[in-house]
Amino acid sequence: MFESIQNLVLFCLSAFFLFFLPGLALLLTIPKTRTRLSLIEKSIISFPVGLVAVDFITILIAKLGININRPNIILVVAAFILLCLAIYFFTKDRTKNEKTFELNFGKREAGIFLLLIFLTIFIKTAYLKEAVFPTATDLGHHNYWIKIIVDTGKLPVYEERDIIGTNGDYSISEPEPIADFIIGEHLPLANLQLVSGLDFFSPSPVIFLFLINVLAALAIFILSYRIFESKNTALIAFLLIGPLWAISGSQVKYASGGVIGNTIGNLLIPVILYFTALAWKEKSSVIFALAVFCGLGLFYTHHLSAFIFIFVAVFSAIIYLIANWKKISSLAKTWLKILISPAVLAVIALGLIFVLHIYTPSYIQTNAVETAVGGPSKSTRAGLDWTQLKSVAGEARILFGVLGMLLILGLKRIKNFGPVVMVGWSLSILVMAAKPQWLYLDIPSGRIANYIAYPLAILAAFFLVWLFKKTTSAVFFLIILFTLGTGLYDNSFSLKDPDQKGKVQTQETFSASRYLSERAGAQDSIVKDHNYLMSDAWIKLFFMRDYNFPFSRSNFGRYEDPTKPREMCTLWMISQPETAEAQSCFQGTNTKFVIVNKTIDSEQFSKNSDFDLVFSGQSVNIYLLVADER
Amino acid sequence: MKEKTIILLASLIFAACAGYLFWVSSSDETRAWTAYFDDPKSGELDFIIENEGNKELFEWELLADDKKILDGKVEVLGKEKIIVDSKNLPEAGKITVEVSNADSGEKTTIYKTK
Repeated sequence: MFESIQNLVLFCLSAFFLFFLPGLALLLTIPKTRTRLSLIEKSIISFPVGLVAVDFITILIAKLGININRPNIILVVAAFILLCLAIYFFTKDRTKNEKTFELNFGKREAGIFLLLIFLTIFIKTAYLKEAVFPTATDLGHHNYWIKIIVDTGKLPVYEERDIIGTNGDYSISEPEPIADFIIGEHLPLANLQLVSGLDFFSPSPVIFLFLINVLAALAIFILSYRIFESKNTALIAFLLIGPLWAISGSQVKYASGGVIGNTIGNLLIPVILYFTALAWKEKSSVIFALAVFCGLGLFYTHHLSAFIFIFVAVFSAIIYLIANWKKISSLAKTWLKILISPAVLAVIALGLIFVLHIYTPSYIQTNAVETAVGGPSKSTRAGLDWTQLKSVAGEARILFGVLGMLLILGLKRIKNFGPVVMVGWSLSILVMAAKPQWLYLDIPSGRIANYIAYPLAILAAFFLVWLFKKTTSAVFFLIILFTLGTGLYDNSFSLKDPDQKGKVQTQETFSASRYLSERAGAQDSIVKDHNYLMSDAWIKLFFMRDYNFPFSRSNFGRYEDPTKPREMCTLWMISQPETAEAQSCFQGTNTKFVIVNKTIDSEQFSKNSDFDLVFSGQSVNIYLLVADER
Repeated sequence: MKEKTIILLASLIFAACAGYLFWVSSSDETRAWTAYFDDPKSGELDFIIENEGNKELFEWELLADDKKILDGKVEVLGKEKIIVDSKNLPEAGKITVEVSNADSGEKTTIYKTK
């Protein structure tokens, strides 16, 4: 119990210091955000703003040759906070006569808001109770890079070795760049680990992502409020994204799965739109500069979210222009005043300097964008039908969200900037998910569809609030019941059963990893299975030799994918170790040890006298190729 | 209700749930046991039984080409190394160690070919 409390305190203090405080301090330096944002808005927005700020600060100090370690991070973040607070103290007289905007809640509204917050957090916790253990593949992969930062004090170089060769002549390549990872996915957790001292195998990464997921839902609340200026709309939007459909899709399942970039992206997108909407309302270029700042953070965190955001911006701009074409020149003047301003240009200039001269995101260096365009290359990228979209988005949410979109068009609210952005946001993702060929996209449609929940929640809330005024209580009650039913049913369907066997297997995998990390030679290669071995992606953390070490027998379908030919050694060495091809692979790569699930993959090795069984548990076996050893 | 109160209550709710998750993780009593050769590459047959659970009784048998040569019992909490004197063992052939957990009945096997 004491250890849990200690870990909680370390986590909370570290997260508060690393993310909330820097974000809040930065917001306080800007007179407009000081007074025009309520305390609740500041507390929600501070975290993402602080996260982006500390990311850039960390990249900067690393590029200046300063080690990323605990004392330096604490010093640099503290210096940033103090600098911001100094600016605040020197400029606070400018706003001393202005009243800070307050989000006033009546007793009932506050009660409902707190109840929704409680339900959101409680339902997600109920799921995480069985999902907080170190098993997730994505999190295992990400933790490798996070550990690189923590162990070396430097920014990681995203590259890996692979098995190369054909026709019996195989070897291990030199490190080649990989585009799958972006620095913004790893810096926050590296900093959190450094400052808190919490273990990589502790629940802290999952709880961090859980916090971001909850903040993303709260960001929808404040965005809805600012767009429609209605607390009822905001509360219903929060209901539709918080406690309902709380687990599946891109919600807390992504947090437990370690889908770091997408989870942070789901927070940053509504935050960017929030600042943009507020900038337009207040005609403030400084607030828009914050939107650009968070946009830069998005590009440094998750390429898919950034790519989708570009489409959201383009769709919204086109719809806005068409809806307001009659007064385009006066609107353009106002927009240009906001866009072409010292604050915005300064942020863009700093961003360009960062990208071109300080640190270029890995996906730009490896031209990863080319792999996302060109039209669907396989069936999973050819678009979802209505049934699939309903399943991803939630039946009630997509139905009322689409009706909300039509309502905005029908009520001619489409001329207003805020509603335009909501329509643009939803429409762009719907088109990308359902008809990717219209936009020449080549991205898994299911992944894109996961982004639709957020804008649909706001549009559905708008529709439901309008409906409440137009219909009888009985009809409205039935509609709410339908909504609650589908959302809560999805939650119950998604909850995980306790998996005691899985936990034992995980422990054995880690035990096997420790065993080999102590006994495998520096030149020995190892191959392991991904299909049946629990928590196999975490094995690399025990070695830290290369992202692709040990080599892995992948999902079987990947070896048959004609669009992405790959090496076959990892398949042969485990599935058919007796074959000549497998023997060539063992020799060429100097693979000595094989880690497999004992119940699935032991037969082919036990029949083969070239292998000793040197480690065994209830689920994990390690075989040693002994031909050259003795 | 004041905004500060809402923020405080929401933070406490999150902190309580996060604390619960930390507690769930640390109080997990899943334990596994394994058996392995201390030096997998050499001809040495010393092996270790590792048990992360409560102290339990393990039985082991050492066989040379399926013929029992040695056996023993040992209580293990943590790691217990069993030293095998190769003097009385055949020069060549398959040496198998069968380990069983006397309490749960679970068994496992490791082997080397000399």
